[in-house]
Parts: sequence; C-alpha cells; structure tokens
Amino acid sequence: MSQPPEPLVHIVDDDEAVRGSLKLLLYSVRLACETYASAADFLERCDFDRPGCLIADVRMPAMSGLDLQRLLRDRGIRMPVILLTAHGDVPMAVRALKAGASDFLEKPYDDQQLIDSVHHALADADRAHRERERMAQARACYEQLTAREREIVGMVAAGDASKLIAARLGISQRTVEAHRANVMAKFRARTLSDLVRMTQLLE
Amino acid sequence: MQRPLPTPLWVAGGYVLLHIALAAADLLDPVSYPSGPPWNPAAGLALALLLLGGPGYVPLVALAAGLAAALVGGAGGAGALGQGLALAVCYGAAAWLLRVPLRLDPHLGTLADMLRLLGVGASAAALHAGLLLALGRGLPGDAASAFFRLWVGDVLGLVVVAPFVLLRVPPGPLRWPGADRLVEFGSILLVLWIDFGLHASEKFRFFYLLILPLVWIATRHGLKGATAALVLAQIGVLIAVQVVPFRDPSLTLLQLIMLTLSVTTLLLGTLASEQRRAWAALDAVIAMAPDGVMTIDEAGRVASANPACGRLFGRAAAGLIGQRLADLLPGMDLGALPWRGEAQAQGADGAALPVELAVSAAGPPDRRLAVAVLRDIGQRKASEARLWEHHAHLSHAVRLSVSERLAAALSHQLNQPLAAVVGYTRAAQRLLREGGEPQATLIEAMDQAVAQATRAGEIIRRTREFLRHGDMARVPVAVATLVAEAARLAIPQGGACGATLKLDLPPDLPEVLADPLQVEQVLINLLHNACEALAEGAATDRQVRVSAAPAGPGWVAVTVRDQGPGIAEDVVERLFTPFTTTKANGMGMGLFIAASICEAHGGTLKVESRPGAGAAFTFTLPAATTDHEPAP
Repeated sequence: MSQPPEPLVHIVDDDEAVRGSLKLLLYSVRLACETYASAADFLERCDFDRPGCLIADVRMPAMSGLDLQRLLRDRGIRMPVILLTAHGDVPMAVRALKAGASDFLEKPYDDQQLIDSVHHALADADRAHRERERMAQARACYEQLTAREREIVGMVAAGDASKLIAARLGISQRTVEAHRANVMAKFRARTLSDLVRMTQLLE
Repeated sequence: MQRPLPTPLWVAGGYVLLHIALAAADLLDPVSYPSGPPWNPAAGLALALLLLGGPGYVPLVALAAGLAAALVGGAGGAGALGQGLALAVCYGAAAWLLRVPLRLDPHLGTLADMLRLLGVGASAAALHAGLLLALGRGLPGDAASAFFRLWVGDVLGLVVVAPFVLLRVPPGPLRWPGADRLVEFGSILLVLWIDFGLHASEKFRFFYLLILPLVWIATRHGLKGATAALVLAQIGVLIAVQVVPFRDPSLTLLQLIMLTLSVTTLLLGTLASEQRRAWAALDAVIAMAPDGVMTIDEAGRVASANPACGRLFGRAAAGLIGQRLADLLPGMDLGALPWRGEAQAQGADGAALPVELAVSAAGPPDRRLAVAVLRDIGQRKASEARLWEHHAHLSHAVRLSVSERLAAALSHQLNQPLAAVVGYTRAAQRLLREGGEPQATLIEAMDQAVAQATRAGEIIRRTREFLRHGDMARVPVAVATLVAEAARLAIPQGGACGATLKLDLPPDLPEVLADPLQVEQVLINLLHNACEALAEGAATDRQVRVSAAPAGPGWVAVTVRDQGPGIAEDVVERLFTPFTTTKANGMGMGLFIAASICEAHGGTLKVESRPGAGAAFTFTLPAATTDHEPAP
C-alpha cells in the first residue's frame, strides 16, 4: 500500500482570531491545517478523499457547525468532526455527540484537550482511510477474476474442500485446484485467512 | 291615568241604578228636610266615575242625576234636567281638573293627591250648591243655610263615597274580615250607640268619641280601612238619626262634625298608607341588596340583618339578630363613626372574611344606633393576590429571560477572543519549548493574544454602556404618589404576610426628579422584601414604615423600614451585588437592579440592619429643583 498522504486538519470558524490562533496552535504540534471562514467555503474547497478531520464552530452565520456535521453524515462523508462552541449547553452537546460528532469542546478550550482530540480524530480518520484503501484494493482484485474464479472464490473462502467444490460444479478436482491457486495469486493472499479477510471487505 | 272599566254598558246601567238608589237611600224623612238632607252620596259616586271613566261619562251622569231628581226628588221635567246638568257639569269639570292639569292618582297614594281631591271636590260642591239654589232647589228657607246644607251634603258624600269607590276599582280579592277587623268596626257602632242610644239627646255630647275608632282604623289599615270605616260610620249615623229624630239645623251641624272627622280620618289614612308604602319599598330594597345591611342597637347588638348579610356570614340572617357586633366584626370601634374601609369579618366557621365596610350613626344623637353596610371582597382580594403572584412570576421570568439572553450573548461574544488568547499563547509556549521557531512568529503570536484580550475588554465596555442607556424619562413627581402606587402593587401581597403599611411623608416634602416607573420598581422591591422578611419572622410589630425627608440641599431620602429578623453582616456586605440572595427562588438581582436605578438617578441605596433588629433601606433621589450637590 502506498504511504497515505499527510492528514489535514480543517478549521471552520467565522472569527478570524479564532482561526488564526487554532492554526498556530496546531502548527506548534506539527499538524498541517487549512482554514475556512464559512461552511460553504469548506464544502467547496475540501478534498474529502484526503484523510483529515474537521474543527468547526457551532455558531456561525449561514450554516452552523451542527448542520455541517449532519450534512457530511448524510452525504456519507466519514470525516470526524470536532465541534467548538462559545456558549454551549449540555443538551446541545448530547445532540451533537449522538449525531456522530467526534468531540464537543467549549471555548476557551484547554489546548492539550483540543490537541488530544485532534489526534484521536486523525487516528480515526487514518483507520477509516486505510480500510477504504483495502476495500478498494480487494475490489480491484475481484475485478480481475474470471467468471469461473468468481464462482469458486466464495466457496474457497467458506473453507470448502476442493473435492466438494469440484463435485458441486461438476468439474475435476485438479481444475478446482488450479483455479484456487489463481484466485490466491490475484488476491495476493498467502494464507486462506488472508483471502477470507479480503472477501469480507467485499461484502 | 284612565284605568279600563268593565264593559261600558254594564257600567252605565249599573251606575245609573246605583246613583238613583243612593239618592233614594238618604233614609231621611222628607218632611223634616223639605230642602233636601245634608247628605248627597250620589255626588261622590259621580265624581269617582268621572275620574275613572273620563269626560265621556258626563252625559250618563247628567242622565242619572236627572232621573234621580225626577223619581226621588219629585222635580219636574225642566227642573230635573237642570239638576242633572248641574251635577254633571260641576263634577265633570272637577274630574277634568283633577285628571288633566293636576294629574291625580286615583289610588290616592300621597297626601298631596288626597288634598287635591278634597280641595277641588269642595270647590265643585260649592259651585253645585250654588247652581241648585239658582234652580230653586233648597227653598224655602234662607239661601245661606240652604247653601250651607247643600254644600255639606255634597262634600260629605264626596268624602265618604269617592275615596271608597276609587280605591276599590278594579275590585281586589274579597276577604272575610278577621276578628280584629270586627272589633274595630264594632267599636264604631259602639260609640254611635253610646252617643245616640245611651244619651239620646240633641246635644250629641259624645259624638267626638267617634274620632277614636276612626283614627285607630286609619292608622292600622291605611286609607282603604279608613274609607270603609267612614262608610260604616256615616251609615251608622244616618240610621241613628232615624231613631233619634233630629231637626234640620242640628243634623247639618252634626254632619259638619262628621265632615271634619271624615276629612281627618282620610288624611290620616292617606298618610298611614303613604308611610307604609315607603317602608315597604325601603324594605324591598334592603332585602334585595347584594351588600349586607345591618342595624345595630345601643347595646352593640345586631337589631336587623338582610339576607345578603346572612349569605356573607354563612348563616340565616335571622340568626344574626342579637349577636354582638364585636363578635362579627372584631376590632370595630363604634365610637369612631362614620367609618369606611376594609375589615375582617368573622364567618360562621370562624374563617376571616375580608369585607369592605361602611358604618354610620343612625337615629337621634342621644341614642347610639348604627347602620353597617358590608360587601364581601374575598373574591376581589383573591384576584388581587393572584394578580400580584402573576405579576411577580412574570417579572421574575422576564428578568430571568433577559438575563439569560444577556448572559448567552455576552458569553458568546467574550469566549471568542478568550479562546483566541488561549490558542495563541499556548501555541507560543509549545513552540518555545520545542525551540527552533523564529522569534518573529512567537512575537506575532503574543501580539495577537494581547489584541484579542483587548477586544474582550472592549466588548465588556460596550455592553455596559448599552445596558446603562435604558430609556429613562425623568419628571418631577411627588414621593407620596410613587409610594402610593408602589404600595398598591406590593401590598396585596402584604395582606398575605399580614403586614400593614405606615406612611410618614411630610406634606411639604419637595417633589423629586425621577423616572416614576423605575423608582416604583425600587419601592416595590423594597416593600416586597420587607413583607417577606416579616412573613418569615415571628415579629410582633408587623408594620412596614415608609418615611421620607429632605437629605441635604437638593436631595430627598426615602426609607423603607421593617422589624423583621434583620440581615446578617456578611450578607449586608454583598447585598447589592448581583446573584446575592437569601431566598430559595431568588435570583439575587432585585437589590442590584434597585441600586443601579438609584445610581442612574445620581443617588444611592444603602441599608442599615442587624440580626434581630429589622432592616432599614434608604435611597436618595434628586429633588426637582434646578441645581443640586452630589448625593450625601
């Protein structure tokens, strides 16, 4: 697998000073970030394939941080969202977290807490990215299978003996063995469990 | 004025017969009275009919009188016609006069009506007598005595018959006379017998005794009884006179006495009826009055009570009679009359009933009678208390929501720059710890932090200015007005905590230059606090005293004082800061806002209090003059 690109922290807040201070703080811990003055700006410019996380202020004109988070979730974009608020309350926090936000912090925030939260979010993002990569890879391998090989792969992953597969398909055991070897090669799986893992990704 | 008489034909026929019968029934020997007896009841009947039926009956009356003159009096055709016309014209005119310009009430309800009837009737009788004389009736004999006799006869007939008939058309229910009536009417006959029977002489010495039963009946039974008694008496006299023969002038004099007695009786009867009606009307008003009306005798006990009283006190009104006023209205001092105000009445179950009370002296000065009018204001008090509660809740809620919104807005405004300060400063620290970062970046970060902190300060300053600039409309206003208005709103609650308000405001106190609504807020707050302090303590002195006095040149100080449990020293220190409260539901803003208002006016709000020694809050306001020194 290729080296994943450096994760990017996206900062969305209508207050310039907040943006600036957050950017400098994250820079001090060697995190790359990009700032946006509004949710709309973020939606337009962000590259959602690149792993990263979002820090958004809850109260913004036009679209709020909560709405932005909901929108990303509805679109199936699995970028972790950290919500910051200048005057939050418990019900709002609960709502946000139930809706899938990664974290909910009050301003003025504790800098260490924020940094930890960002790291946690980026780890999540990284995991998700890796999983997506593996899935894409598995799919690519699957595309390369022949029709017959596709028939066999499910049964092989289920652990059925070649004899059984041959009997089921009405072909010789030798043929099955050959197909099995090809499948393993195309999936670049060395053991049966590798193959199982890969096929599971396809479901 | 015209009451409907039963069908005219019936009436007409009946009248004519009755007229003739009456003319015939004088029961007197024509030999003794060649010129006619001093007794003309038909005149009374004619006047009554003309009054009730109107001028339309004039021809009928003329016809009846003419027939009577012919059949009974033996007059010739022309004479009969003349007599008939004379009667009809005189009494027709009288009836018209009474009905139209004088607007006589046929029920003879007032003394004025009775006098009008008698006056006009007597005048018409005089005219009639004159006309009869002119027609030759009544002669021979001298004209003067003939005129007199005719006049007395007519007037007596009017007096006895006319009121009797007027009061009984339409006829009322027929009632058999009870034993008392029989005794009364029997007494008339008794007197007549005493006079004519026992001492039968022409001197009729005891005739005046007749006044006794007549007056008795008139006062007991009013006009209706009087007229019946008169008819009976007259008939009795006429019968007696048959038995004891009288000569002409004697009888006329007797009839004159009878006339005087009758007029007196009629007037008394009218008065008695009038008074009775007036009392009945008053009784009806009192019985139906929605307010309780009680009379109290000299012993301080209830002499009478109307049904509304009963409802008020929760028992039958009759049950209140004889009760001592002190039991029903505790604390009522009958020496300080007239008295108006609110008081607490004692209900049947011992509950205290708030009432509005007016007590005034009644009766002559040497007898201490009193009349009390009570109105149940329990409902009103309850509504006022509820209104006050709502008011308090509303203002509390408004204050809460305003503060809430304010707090939310402020926190958002301030947290932004504060977050930026933290961000920049922490970032600079981390970069410093790691080392290797160019100085410029670090300095820039710290500059930014400072700039943001300054921004926060700016926000606070602007917010303060915004809050300070409330709408304030300062006008000259009297302290007494402000206190009265504030008390009106604060004291319904006072009723619940049992406090009374005592005002000590000198009349020459200068007006203050203030925003009335805001100063009232201050007063309401202080009064409310005083009330609550008294409610929770077991203070014996449940008075809230508001006093005012000049305080230095150009300033007025107002003090609200209570003898409640007082305030602890540590609480006193922070009493006027926000969020300080000793109440469970308090927000701690009341005194803070009050102090702010006083300061906005340029004055101060201070407190003097010690635990156990009550509390006195004093605030100063500028007097409504042009210049003044700073507040003392």
